[in-house]
Amino acid sequence: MTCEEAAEFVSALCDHETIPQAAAGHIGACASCQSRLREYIEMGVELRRVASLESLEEARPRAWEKRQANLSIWWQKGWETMRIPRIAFALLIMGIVGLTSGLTLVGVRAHAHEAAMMLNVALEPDHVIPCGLSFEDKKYSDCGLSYGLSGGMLTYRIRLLSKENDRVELGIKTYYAQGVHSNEGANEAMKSVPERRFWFEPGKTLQIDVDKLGPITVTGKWLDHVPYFAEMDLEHNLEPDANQIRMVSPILLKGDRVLYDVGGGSATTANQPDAAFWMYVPGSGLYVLSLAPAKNAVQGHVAENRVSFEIDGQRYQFVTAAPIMRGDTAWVLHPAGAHSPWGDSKNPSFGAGNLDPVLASAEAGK
Amino acid sequence: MTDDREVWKKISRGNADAFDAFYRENAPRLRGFLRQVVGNPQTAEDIAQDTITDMWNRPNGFQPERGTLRGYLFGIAKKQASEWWRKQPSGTLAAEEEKSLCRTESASIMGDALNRLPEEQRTLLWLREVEGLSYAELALNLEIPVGTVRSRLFAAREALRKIWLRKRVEA
Repeated sequence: MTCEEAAEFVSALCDHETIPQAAAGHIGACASCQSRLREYIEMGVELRRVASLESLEEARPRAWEKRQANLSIWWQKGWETMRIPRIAFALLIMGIVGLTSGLTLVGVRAHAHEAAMMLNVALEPDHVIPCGLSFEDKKYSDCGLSYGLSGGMLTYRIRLLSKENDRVELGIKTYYAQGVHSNEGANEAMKSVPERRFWFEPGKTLQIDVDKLGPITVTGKWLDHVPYFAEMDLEHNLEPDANQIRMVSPILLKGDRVLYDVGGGSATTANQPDAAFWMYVPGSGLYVLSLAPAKNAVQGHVAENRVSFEIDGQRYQFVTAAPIMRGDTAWVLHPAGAHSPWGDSKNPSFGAGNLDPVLASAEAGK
Repeated sequence: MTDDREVWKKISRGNADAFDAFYRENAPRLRGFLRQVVGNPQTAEDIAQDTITDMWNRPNGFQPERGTLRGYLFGIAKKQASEWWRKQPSGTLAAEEEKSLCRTESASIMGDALNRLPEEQRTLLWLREVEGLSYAELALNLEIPVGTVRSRLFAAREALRKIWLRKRVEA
């Protein structure tokens, strides 16, 4: 880790936040970062001293009486001082009432078409995974994934069953096991997991207990469609977090040849320094893109929505539909003979996670 | 430490004594914060009084599980200050005068350095370093994700550090 990469964590330390191990190690051994930390602390002290000087004057005495809104007086005064014909005013009010009613009708109608339920599944406090479900679009009839969590793998699947007024009935399967597992193994185990049924109401939090893991929570709201790439909240924020890799509809190119076009799929990592994205192409192998260098990894150059790198003199590029990461350097590992971390070597696949578990899964799949 | 929930319950029921105690405790700090944000002491006083009056007349919206009562108060004040800035014609003499007034009144190198930061960074640093608002409260008040709070605080600290170090050398 460089001082530049550690700088944001120096700031976080000032705020009594915990920081990644790699950053903590670097800061502990780096005189420059420690100097920066001392300066930040000194700045905080100075700011509070300035604030103390600002706050010398006491609050001026005030009396607290509730302001009573007196509608009748307000109305009477307005009526008496009206400067337009009163019939015109009455027509104006009627027009406003009419328009408002129309808007209400439009609103109700729009709500009736809100056939997509946008769920947010909170697996960890700072990692929420959206899940778009739709009654109209069959490809969004369910959602789910496998996710490395607390030294194991959580797999869940959520199915939209029925709707009653504003609430929906969800069918949910969860499976958690400690250790490294292939996606195939998790999917096989899921077959014997019974589906549980829950009624979910937007605005409320649904808690789902996962055996051997604990609770995960689900919140959500109605939308009129399932957004593209909902898992990345691109509608509100195109900027990846400091330690995040976002791969929106990625394509892997070898020279000018397309090795794998995900075609609308996407993957995003948690905001962690060892974040990694992987893509497996049958016949070509596994490509692991990470923020942190790994043994035998080649350096890649990142520019907005593409990562360029070379392996054995051959030029490769990941090209995506949105910014990939904040920095301009990434690392790409192409381990010889590695399989998909999901354990399926016949089909192309891709995913996101942390570097070591991804490599361990790929190794296990050999 | 008084429980925010209890204080809020009293304020919501129109308990003037409870609100007056809250006002006396927080108004000077609120005014100090607003001076940093808008520059002019009189404008800061006006916004502080409006904020407090609004809170008294319309006691709703505070959610104890999402932060402290003080954080909530500063959040309202921040919104009112932003609204005030929006109403200032950009680049007008009035707005510039407000800024320069603030600069000439500042009594320290740090005060000067702080005044050279953009409004958003001044606000963020002040709320964090002086008022001690948590990342969650800052995220709520500034309507940004918690992860963004951390990166923006870093950017603000770095900007302030550079100005501050330069001014220290000049002094």
